[in-house]
Amino acid sequence: MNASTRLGGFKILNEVVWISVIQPKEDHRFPTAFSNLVSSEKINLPFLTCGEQNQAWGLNLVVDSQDAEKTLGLIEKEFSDINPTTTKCAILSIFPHRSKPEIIGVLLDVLGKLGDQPIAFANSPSAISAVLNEDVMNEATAALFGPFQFGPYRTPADWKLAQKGKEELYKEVVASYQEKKPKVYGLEWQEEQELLHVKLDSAHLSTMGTVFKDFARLGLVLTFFISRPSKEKNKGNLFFCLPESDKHDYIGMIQKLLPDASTVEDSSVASFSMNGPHFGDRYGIASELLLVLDEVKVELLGLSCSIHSITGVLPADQIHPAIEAIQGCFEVPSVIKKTYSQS
Amino acid sequence: MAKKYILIVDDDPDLVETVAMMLESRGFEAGRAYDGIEGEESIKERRPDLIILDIMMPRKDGYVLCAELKANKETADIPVVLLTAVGEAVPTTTYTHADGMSTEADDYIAKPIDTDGLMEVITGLL
Repeated sequence: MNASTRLGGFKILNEVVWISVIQPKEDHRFPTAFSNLVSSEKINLPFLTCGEQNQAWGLNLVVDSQDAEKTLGLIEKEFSDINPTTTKCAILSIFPHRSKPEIIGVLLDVLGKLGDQPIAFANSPSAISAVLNEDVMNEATAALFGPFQFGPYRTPADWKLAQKGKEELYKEVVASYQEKKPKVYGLEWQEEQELLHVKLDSAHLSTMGTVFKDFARLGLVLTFFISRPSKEKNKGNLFFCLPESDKHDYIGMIQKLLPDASTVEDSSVASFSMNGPHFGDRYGIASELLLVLDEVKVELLGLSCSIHSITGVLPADQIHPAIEAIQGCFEVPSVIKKTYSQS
Repeated sequence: MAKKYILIVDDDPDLVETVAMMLESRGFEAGRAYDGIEGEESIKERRPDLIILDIMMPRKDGYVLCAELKANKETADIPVVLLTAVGEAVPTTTYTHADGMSTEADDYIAKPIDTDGLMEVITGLL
């Protein structure tokens, strides 16, 4: 790993509100019911993660600040037994990570040292997104320069200057798509994955970054990365996928540096990613995907919606029915099976 | 033989990555830029053998960048393939397919990208 890693860029979405919900009782359809509710009011979700722990789904969602009150009202009306947590925040996304664990490792190291811990994480095929308290965003931006280099932007000031007008265009485009059958620009999937769940003290995020750098030294690729909200104060839940391996002891590697972390491994999973025009944030896309997966009784294990993509994890033997179902309700020109050579 | 270098310019980083991986798996070297100005700077830094250029981008859109490249004798001969979803999926947009055909771009591909179609266009232009 070089002292400084060159990336293409990063972007920040400001003036948004993070809402976390944890379902109080077992209901496997909870993410579908919830996203359907939000979609029915045409509320864009610039960020959504779904992770299951002890048969209870936890969702991180981010909405535009002007939609926050409406979203909370919907939750209160339809899910009165849920007590959501909210914070004014911003989303920082760096790209491209090229599925390299060291990029996440460095990011966790940087963000773990901020005055205020990150609120949530998600990934897309190109980007890692972190939800941060809006008060620490300037500190976070400055801290990125050094561990990372960003193409033409040598300083935070260079970058800031280049952002003028970008967010307005972004919001205008999100609001303007109305196809009857959405086009998927790219649908790719990979099997022979393991889903790992790590519950750790939020204060140990930088150490978890070191674990990811250790994974990188083994030449591993990371295909999925989200966080799930926790009911316990100062605890974080990370879910991620690594290649299935008899050779590497992932849990042992985590516990070597984080002996107090609790870990769960789910082997034989597959992941898929679908990229399309603002698929990571447009209302209705996640909802439609979750509905169709429910219809064919696919058991979702985790979901990440950010940037322009939706990434899902499911049991390996359910990937083909899932792909077929996606092809039935979205316009998909080609499906690519990704393979990675393992060291 | 040196690999042909193709620059992809699009403000959707996930699409850039998908196309880059597609090109790299077929023996090309892929460059990445995330808006028109970054694309322009990247071209100055390293001359690509071909450019895949999105139309709707912040700061400088694909039409403007394409016109500038074709008006500059240093870059006029670099093949440019315009890439867009405009005209169908975005009813509110001011961009149309007709605009695309009136530029000096060497070819025009609609999203979603048909892999074989894109490779055919690239092979034909290189």
